[in-house]
Amino acid sequence: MTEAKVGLSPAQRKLRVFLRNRAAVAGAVLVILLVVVAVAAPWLAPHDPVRQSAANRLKPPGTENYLLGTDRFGRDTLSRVVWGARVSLQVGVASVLLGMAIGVPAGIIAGYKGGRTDQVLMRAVDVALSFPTLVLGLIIVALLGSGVWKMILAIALVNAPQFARVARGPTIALRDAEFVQAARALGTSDLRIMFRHVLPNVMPDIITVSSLWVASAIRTEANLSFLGLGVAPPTPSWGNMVREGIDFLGRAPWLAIAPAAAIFLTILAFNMLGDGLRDIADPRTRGE
Amino acid sequence: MHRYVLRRLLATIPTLWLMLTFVFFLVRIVPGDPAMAILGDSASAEALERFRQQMGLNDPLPVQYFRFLADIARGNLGTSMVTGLPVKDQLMRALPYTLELTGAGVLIGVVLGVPLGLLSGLKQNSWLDYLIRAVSLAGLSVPAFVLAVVLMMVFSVQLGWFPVISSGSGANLVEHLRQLFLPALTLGLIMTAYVARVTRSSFLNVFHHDYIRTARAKGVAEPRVVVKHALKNALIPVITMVGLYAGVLLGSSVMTEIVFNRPGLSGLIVGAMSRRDYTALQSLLVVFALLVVVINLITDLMYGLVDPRIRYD
Repeated sequence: MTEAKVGLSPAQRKLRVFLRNRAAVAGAVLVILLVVVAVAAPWLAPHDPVRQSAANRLKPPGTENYLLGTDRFGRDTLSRVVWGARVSLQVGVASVLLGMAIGVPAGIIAGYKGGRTDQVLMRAVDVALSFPTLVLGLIIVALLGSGVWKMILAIALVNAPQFARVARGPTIALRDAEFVQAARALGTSDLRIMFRHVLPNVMPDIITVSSLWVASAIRTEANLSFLGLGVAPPTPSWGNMVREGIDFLGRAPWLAIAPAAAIFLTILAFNMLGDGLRDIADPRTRGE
Repeated sequence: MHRYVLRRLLATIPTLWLMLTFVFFLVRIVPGDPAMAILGDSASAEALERFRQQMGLNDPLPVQYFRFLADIARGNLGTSMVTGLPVKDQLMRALPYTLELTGAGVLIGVVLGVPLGLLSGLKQNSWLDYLIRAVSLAGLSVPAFVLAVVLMMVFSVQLGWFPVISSGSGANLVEHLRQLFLPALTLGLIMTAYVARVTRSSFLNVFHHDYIRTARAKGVAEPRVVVKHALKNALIPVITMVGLYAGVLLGSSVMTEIVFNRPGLSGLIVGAMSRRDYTALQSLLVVFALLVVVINLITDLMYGLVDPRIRYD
C-alpha cells in the first residue's frame, strides 16, 4: 500500500475503488440522469405524451417541434420516451424493494432455523426458480391483471426466491457467530436475533447486488409490456412503444428504435453501476 | 453410467412432483371463469354448466388434482378446452421449432463465446480485453426482443437479406437456414455475452494453478498449455452456466419467436394465456418443467465428458 492511502478511512477507500472504475462511474451518472428525467418528466417533455394530432402523423425525427418524430397518432416520440422512464424506474425500483421485503426475511428464517424449515423453503425456491422468469411473470400478471402496481407485485413475486437465496447464505455463516451466540445466551428471542442482529449484517450483500436486480426487473417490465401485458396503452412504456413501432420498421424506424435504445441504455447503466458496487464489496471479483 | 442416469432420473421425481403441484395450483388461482371465457358472455347458463361438467371443472379440487397427476403420469397432456384438439399434437408441432432455435442459439453462443472469453483472458487488461468485456456487458443488458428488432431492421428491412417473417421452415436446407438465421443470431449473440464472461473469469482462475506452471516447466508448448490444460478445466463453469440459463434461454426464445412471427411455443403460450385455456396452459408449463429437468440432467452428464475425475458410479 502506498503512503498516500494509509490515512484513508474504509469508506474513503471504497469510494476511491469505485471512482477508479470508469464504467461504474459512467453507470452511476447515467442512473442519476435517468432519475432526473423520470422525476422531471412533466417539465422536460415538450408535448403531452398521449395527445393525438392527426395533422402530425408519422413525422420523421428532426421535424420542427418533434425532435424524435411522431407516431401514427401524431404523438411526440420524445415526450413518450421521457414519460416511459417513469414507468421503468418505478417498476424497477419498487419491485426490487418489495421482492426484498418478501424474500430476505424468508431467506433469513431458512438460514437461521435450518433443518426442516430450511429444506422446505429452499425446495420451494428451487422449484420457483426452475421456471423461466418470463413464463412465471406472464402467469402472475394474468392472475393479477395489468397495471403498474400489479406488475410491480408480479415482478416482486417472481424475484423474491432469488433474494431468499442470497440472504440465506450469509445467515448460515452468522448463525454461529460469537455475537449471535452471545445474544442467544442473554435470552434474546430468535425473532429479535434474526432482525436486530442478522438482518443488518446480511443487508450489505443484498444492497450490493440490488442494482443488478433493478436492471433485471426493468428487463422483465419491458418484456411484459412488449407482450401487451404490462402498462396498458395509451400510457407510454418503452416495451409497448417498441411493440407498436414494429409495424413501422420500414417507414418510421424511430418509433421502435428510440424506446429500444432507452431500454438498452437503462439496463446497461444499472448493470455497470452494479458491477462497480460488487467490486467494492468483493475485491476478488475485481476486473472479472 | 447407466446406473447413475437411472438414479438421477429417480431423484428428479420428487422435484417434478413439486413442480406439477405448483403448476396445478398456479393455473387454478388465475381468476376468471374458463367456461365464460371460451363460450363467450352470451352463452346460456345451461351451456356454461354443460361445458363445466364436460371439462370436469365442477369436480372437487382434489379430484381434479389427482386426475391431472394420473394423466401426466400416463403421458396424456389432455385436450385443449378451446380447440378440442389434443394438446400433445399442438405441442409436438411447435416444440421442434423452439428447440431448433434454442439449440442454434446455444451453438452460436458457445462457438463465439468460448474463443472470445479465452482471448479476453489471455490478453488480460489489454484494449482487446476491455473491448470484449464492454461488448459482453452490452450483450447482457439487451433484452432479446430489443436485439431482435434491431437485427430485423438492419438485415431484413434495410438490407433485405433475410425474410421479415420467419416461417420456420423452407423448401430446402439453404432456405431453412435463412429462416432460422436472424432469430438464432439474436439468441446466439446474447448467449455469446454470457459465455464469454464466464469463460474469461474461469480461465483466469484456472491459469494461476500449479499444474499450469508444471506443464510449462516440463516444456509443453504454450498453445497446448492454453487449450489442453487450461481451457479444458475452465469449461466446467461454462457448462454449468449454460445449464443454469436454460430457463432464461427458453424465455428469450419465446420473445424472439414473437418478434419474428416464428412458429413455436410462444404462440401456444400467448394463445393459451389470452383464451384462458387451462388445460393447454397447464400442459405447457409441465413441458417447461420437464425441459428444465432434462437440461439439468444433460448438464450433469456433460461434466463427465470434460472432467474425467468426475465418475458416475
